Parts: sequence; structure tokens; C-alpha cells
Amino acid sequence: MASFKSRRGELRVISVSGITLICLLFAAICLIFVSRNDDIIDDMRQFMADVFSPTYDLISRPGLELRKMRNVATNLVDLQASYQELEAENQRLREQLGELGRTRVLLDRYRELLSLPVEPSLHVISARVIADMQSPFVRTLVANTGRLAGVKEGQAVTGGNGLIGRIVSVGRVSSRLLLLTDFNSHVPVLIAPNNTRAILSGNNADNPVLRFLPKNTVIEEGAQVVTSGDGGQVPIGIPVGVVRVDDDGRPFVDLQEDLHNLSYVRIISTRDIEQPPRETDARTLPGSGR
Amino acid sequence: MSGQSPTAVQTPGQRVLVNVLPLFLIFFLILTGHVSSGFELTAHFDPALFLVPVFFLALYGQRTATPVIIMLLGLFKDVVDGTPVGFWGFLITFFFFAAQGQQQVLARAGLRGRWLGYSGICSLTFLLGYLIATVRDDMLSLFWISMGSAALSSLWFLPISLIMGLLIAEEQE
Repeated sequence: MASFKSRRGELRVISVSGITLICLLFAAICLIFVSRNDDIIDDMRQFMADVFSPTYDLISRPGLELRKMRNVATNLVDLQASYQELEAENQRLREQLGELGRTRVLLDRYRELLSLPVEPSLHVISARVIADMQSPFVRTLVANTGRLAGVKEGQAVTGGNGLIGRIVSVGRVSSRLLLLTDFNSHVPVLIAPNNTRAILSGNNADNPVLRFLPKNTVIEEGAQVVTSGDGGQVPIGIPVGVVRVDDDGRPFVDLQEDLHNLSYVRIISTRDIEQPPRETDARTLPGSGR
Repeated sequence: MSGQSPTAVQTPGQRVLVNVLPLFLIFFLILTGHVSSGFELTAHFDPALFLVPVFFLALYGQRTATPVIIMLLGLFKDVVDGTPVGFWGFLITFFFFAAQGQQQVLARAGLRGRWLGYSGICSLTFLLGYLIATVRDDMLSLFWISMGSAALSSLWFLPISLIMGLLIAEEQE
């Protein structure tokens, strides 16, 4: 009798376990199909980033210090070579400085002649990377600067050498940046020397690819890629990387910045672009033809 | 689920060690998984270290609420990671039940057997993650990166299971 009872109990436990299994897995599958760009989820995500930002800050510090020590050690080993390299670079830059001054004067003159509006001045906000969300499925970072410092969605983010991504959500004291390598990243770019327009799309690998190139475009390997400024949020001319071509002839970009070793980033804030008047408003404007 | 564990835990201290500590460890490992080491290799792969305590819970946990808490922790990972909500929630729950399904075999197996079991279930979980990523239009994952992550996770199994006291449990048998 006792063994019968225990068998019944075991069966009940198994059935409860089975039902739990089915319910939980079904609930999780349903949740997967909730859109990733849902506002409530985005808000929750940013709230969590704000809440855990002191924790991230704390636990990322030993790693940051270790990285600094590693960099110091590497620099010490290569000190002589670095010194010579920097000396040569300094010489080269000094030569280019004079040329740059002349170009700036010419540019201002041309701008004046063409009556072009002055480009909005860039305001740079420095931030520290406190969490690295790079995984096989997503490529984002969390920085320790948010709305309080003037960070807004869509702003471009650079490292020391070039563009790394853009801000996708902003909290009070933290912000999430989508790296150029993420599958959901699409940035309009220009390819030198012909200023060919293309879209730089992430593919969750190290090198994002160039898409939507005009037909019959020939792109040289090693050509410089910079931001085109289309859309108004990412300023024009931020260096991105150089073009490389894979074995199948598809162009991709070798990024200027090493996305795996980022400690500090710069968030580039531009003046807000004025929205053009709506069609209904335009009709009521004086001299609009009515 | 309750009373199914083949390893009877006697003292309250051991009960806490088996039922509560792994949950804190999962939470902690989810958070510390976001610390950048600056190494290129770790940026490519996600070792998902929190799967080791989940494995431990599946084998020795005795609380009925454990799968629900595990799933909630998976959803928490989705929220902080930026993956679609439910993605890790599903994977971690699948992993838990897959490990629990092999409980009778794995709990009695030696360390090598458990390691093998963990590696197998972990690979299956990452394969599932890869398949979900290919189905969704806002996700993409490379097969070798997913499988590499599973392999890396397997490598981390030993040190974390040492912390978890799996070896202590083995000595008790």
C-alpha cells in the first residue's frame, strides 16, 4: 500500500514537472516573438542598465586596471620602436599642419562664395565602457554616461581612431551603444576617392559589409570609408575604416578601431536638425502660392 | 521535481549550498559576464558560465520553484544583454530540463561523465540558440562562434564545478 502511495506521489511529481516544463518553454517561445524594439522592453532594459551601472562600474574596474597594466607592459617592451615611429609621425603631421591651415582658409572662402550654412559645431562627451555585451548573438556596449550629461539616441560614438557605433538607448546615468558590427547596425557612408555612397551593415562578425552600392561601381581595396552624414545624426567625415575585398569579391570594411579593447569612448553630439515644416503648415505660410 | 534528487542532502548548510547558492552564482555570473577582458577571443565567444550552476541545480536542486526562478534569470539576462526577451529565457529553461532529464545518469556519473554530459547539453543549447537566431530577422549568429562558445563553456565547467562543490558531492557517494 505504502509503495502504491509513493508511486502515486512520484507520478504526481512527474506530471507537475511535465506541465511546468511545457508551460515554461511555451511561455519563453511566446516571449521570443515579442518585438525587440518594444518601447516597454527598451525602457525596462535601460532602467536595468541604470540600476546596475554602479555594479558594472565596480566589477569592470579590476579589468580596466589589468588592461592598463598590460598596455604599459606592452609599451615598455616596444618603447624604442614606438619612439621612432612617433618621431616620424610627428614630422609627417607637422608637414601636414601647414597644408591643413591653407585648406581651411580655402574651405571657408568656398563656403562663403557658395553661401553654404556653417556645419554645426561638434560637442564631445567622454564616457567609460562599463559593460561589454558582445556575444555570438548581440554586439552592444554600456557606457557610464546618460541623459544627465546630454546623451541622446542616435548620436555617433567614436573611439580614439574612428567610428565604433551609435547610441540606441539612453538612461539617466548610462547609455547603450550599438556597435558597427551588430547585425542591426546600418550606417550611411562615403567611399573615397569618388565619394561613392553605401550602407555599412553589421554582420555579427569583425568586419561589417558594404551594401546598396550603386551599380557597376568599382571600389579599390584600401579606399578610405567615412560617414556620409545622411540622416543628420551622425556627423559627416568621421573615419570608419578601409575597404577590403573577400575571396568572393564582396567588399567589407576593416574598421579603424579595435572594438575588443575599448575602455573609453567619445559620444559626438551635434545640434538638433530642424524638422522641415509639414505640408499643411507650408500652405498657410505667406508667399506659399495661396 | 521535489524529492527526485538521487543525492540526499542532510544538513541545512548543504541545503543552502545546493538550492540557494547556485541561484546567486547564476545572477553573479550573468553580471560578470559583461566585464570586458580586452581579449579578442572572449569578445567573439560567450562562455555562458552561468550554465554551470544551472546544471548543478538540475542535478541536485530540490525546490519546485527552481525552473521558474531559472527562467526568470534567463529573462533578466535577455533584458540586460539586449537579446530578444525570451531568447535566453528559453535556452536556459531548455538547458535546465535537458540536464534534469539526464539526472539519474549524470548524478551518479563520475566527474568525466558529468563533464561530457554538460558539454553535450551545452552544445545542444547553443545549437538551439543558433537556430533561433537564424529564424529571427533581427538576429544573426555564426555557427562556428556558437559552437565555439559551447566549447569554451565546457572548458570552464571544471573550475566552476569545483567552486560549486560538485566534487564534494562526488566524494560523498
